[in-house]
Amino acid sequence: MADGQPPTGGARPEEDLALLRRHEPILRFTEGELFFPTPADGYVERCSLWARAPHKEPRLLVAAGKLDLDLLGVLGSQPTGTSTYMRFVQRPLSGREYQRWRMQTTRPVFKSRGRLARVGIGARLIDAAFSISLLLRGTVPGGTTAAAMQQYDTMLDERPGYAYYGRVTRDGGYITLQYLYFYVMNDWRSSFYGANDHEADWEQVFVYLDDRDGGEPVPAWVAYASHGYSGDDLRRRWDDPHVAKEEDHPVVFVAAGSHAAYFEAGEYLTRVEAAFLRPLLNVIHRVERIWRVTLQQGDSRGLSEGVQSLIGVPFVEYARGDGVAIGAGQASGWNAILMPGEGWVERYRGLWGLDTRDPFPAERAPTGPKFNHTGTIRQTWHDPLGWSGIGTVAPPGQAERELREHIVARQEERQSARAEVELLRAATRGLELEARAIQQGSFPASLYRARSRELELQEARLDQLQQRVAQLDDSIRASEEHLARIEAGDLGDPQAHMRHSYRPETPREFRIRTLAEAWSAVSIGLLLLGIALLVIPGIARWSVAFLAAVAVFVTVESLLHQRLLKLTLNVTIILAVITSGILLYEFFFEIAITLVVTIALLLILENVRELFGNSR
Amino acid sequence: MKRRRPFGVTVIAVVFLANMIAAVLQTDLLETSLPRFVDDAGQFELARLIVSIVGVLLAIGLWRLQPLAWATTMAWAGITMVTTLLAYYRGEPQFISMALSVVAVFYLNSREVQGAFHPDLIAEPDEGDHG
Repeated sequence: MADGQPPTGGARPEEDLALLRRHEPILRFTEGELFFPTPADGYVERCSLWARAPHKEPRLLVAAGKLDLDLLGVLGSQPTGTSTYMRFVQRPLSGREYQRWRMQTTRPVFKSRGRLARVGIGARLIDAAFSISLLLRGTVPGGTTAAAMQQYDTMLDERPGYAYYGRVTRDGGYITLQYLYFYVMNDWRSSFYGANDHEADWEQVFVYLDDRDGGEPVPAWVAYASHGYSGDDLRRRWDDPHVAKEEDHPVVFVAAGSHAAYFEAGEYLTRVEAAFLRPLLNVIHRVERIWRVTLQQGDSRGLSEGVQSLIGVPFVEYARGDGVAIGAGQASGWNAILMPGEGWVERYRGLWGLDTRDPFPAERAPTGPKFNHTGTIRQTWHDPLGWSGIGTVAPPGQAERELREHIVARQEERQSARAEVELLRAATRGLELEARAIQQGSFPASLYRARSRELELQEARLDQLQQRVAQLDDSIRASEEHLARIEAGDLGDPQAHMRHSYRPETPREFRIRTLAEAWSAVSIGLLLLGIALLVIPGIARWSVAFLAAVAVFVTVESLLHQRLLKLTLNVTIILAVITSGILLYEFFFEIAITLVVTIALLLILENVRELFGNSR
Repeated sequence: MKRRRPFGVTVIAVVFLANMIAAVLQTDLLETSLPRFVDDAGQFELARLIVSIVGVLLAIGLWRLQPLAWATTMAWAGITMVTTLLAYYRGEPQFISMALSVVAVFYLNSREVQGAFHPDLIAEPDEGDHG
């Protein structure tokens, strides 16, 4: 246990700590990673604390060197509307200092190839716009990562080693082991060509134990926090072959800089999407569906992929697992700290690092383990089962009993529905006889209509009940079959709950040729230069020159990515659509008349068939 | 499993073949030897012969459901459409040729026909597609 950390946080701290220890994940980092999980106290002691009231300049609450976790808890609650934030780097390195830091031979070096060569031209255009947007948005200043690294080095000198915060909750038949990792800096953008930088980073991994009555709790599920992913897709069953494990410890592959957690080692192509453009993608999906389903045309995934690439900036998450490894059986182990149940965790709702005031939350520092940026409580804190979609999933050790109870309840429901069917059927038959009696006697027609209507309603209700019984039959049979499988120890497909399987890119996918890589690096700049030249008067008829430039550009792009055939086919289809439009424009009247005549002939044919009794 | 050739593909293959026969009949090839024909023929006649030979190869490829023949036919239709669109732009429309190209492209791009040429590429429609 780390020095100075009281073992609080739960009603059974020793038992909780033992459980946390037993299943503490092994974290494998990427070669070149600069920051590793560390206790938060050393960080806070180097931070200054600031408050910002609406429309006012930030006010220093506590200078760097005078803050600690206790004081953070005391000062955490500020008047409504006032936001608080810490600042770890008081002065980023200057340009010269930064260059000196870069030249250090002891600094871990990260090598990567071809982020931009892995995506299309549209994505590269968006990436260029994203880079330009950084000039206008509030961002973490350059030189911050280097300064943070220097401070982190002094923290390690004072107290070497790695730490996690652990929290144990018991709910819904599960014991949730929540592992929280604190990093002093997220340097994904500045060190690994990623989307964002921010001071401080809280990441989480969950191990869900089956809380068996009287028995030893056993791991059932694991869930790794990873930006952009949510719900069922976050978790994996313990016996899933894609979950790497060493004895009772899951292995987590940590993405360089962002510290997102992955189940498998590799490089992940992710997209940071501009949410306001999502409606455009929905429209494209609808058009694509009409194209594919209504018009029965061939696969058009290229279209939606292309549009998707236009609304998302591509980034690569490097979770190679070829760097430092921390955990049981590794060169470095963990210091476990039980998450305190009060103080700074409960009271400090501010940011854990510099507030850049970026309109997008990407470059703002995160809040603490308990709170969202809005000050509300994180779902990972108050409902860790619901966060990973596990709240409605029975623990494996209890599934058999719960399913058996469910089957009994369904059987009773079916019995009750059948009894209701019998009663309703008898009543409906009586009503039918009554209606027929009224029809055949000399009674008012309104009475017959009223009874007939009543009869129709009862028949509809009877149909519904019969359907319900049939559905219950199927459900019970399916449940009984599933129960038999569970009894035999077969829990089914471990990934059946997942909608999207996030897998790393295969080596073939990112084997980028040097030429393609070079082209990807310079292409957008060349395109902008070309456009700049085109607007100079007198060089060429600009519309023709523009089209020619785009054609050359797209052809080179397709050649380098070996997609020339696909390009040719797509162009052909676009030409066909344009030609159809021209034909429709030129022959609208003739086409409309032809359609009407065709429909009329078909109707006549159908009716004549019916007339002669040949309705086949 | 033996793949079934869609009827329209048979028609296109036959049309290609018929075109080739017509093109060859319009030349002097049948009345002379090939080397002499090559020596005597003008550029236009030579080009027509080459196109005819490609047409035969395409017809055979389409008949045998070769994916390359499908792609080449699509590209061919694309080139035809470029020329007809340029002609339309110049005020010399060739509407019949335009209509035939459009029909050919949409037909060859339909799921059924693509499935005949690329049985591995056409995925089953998802559940929602049936409604």
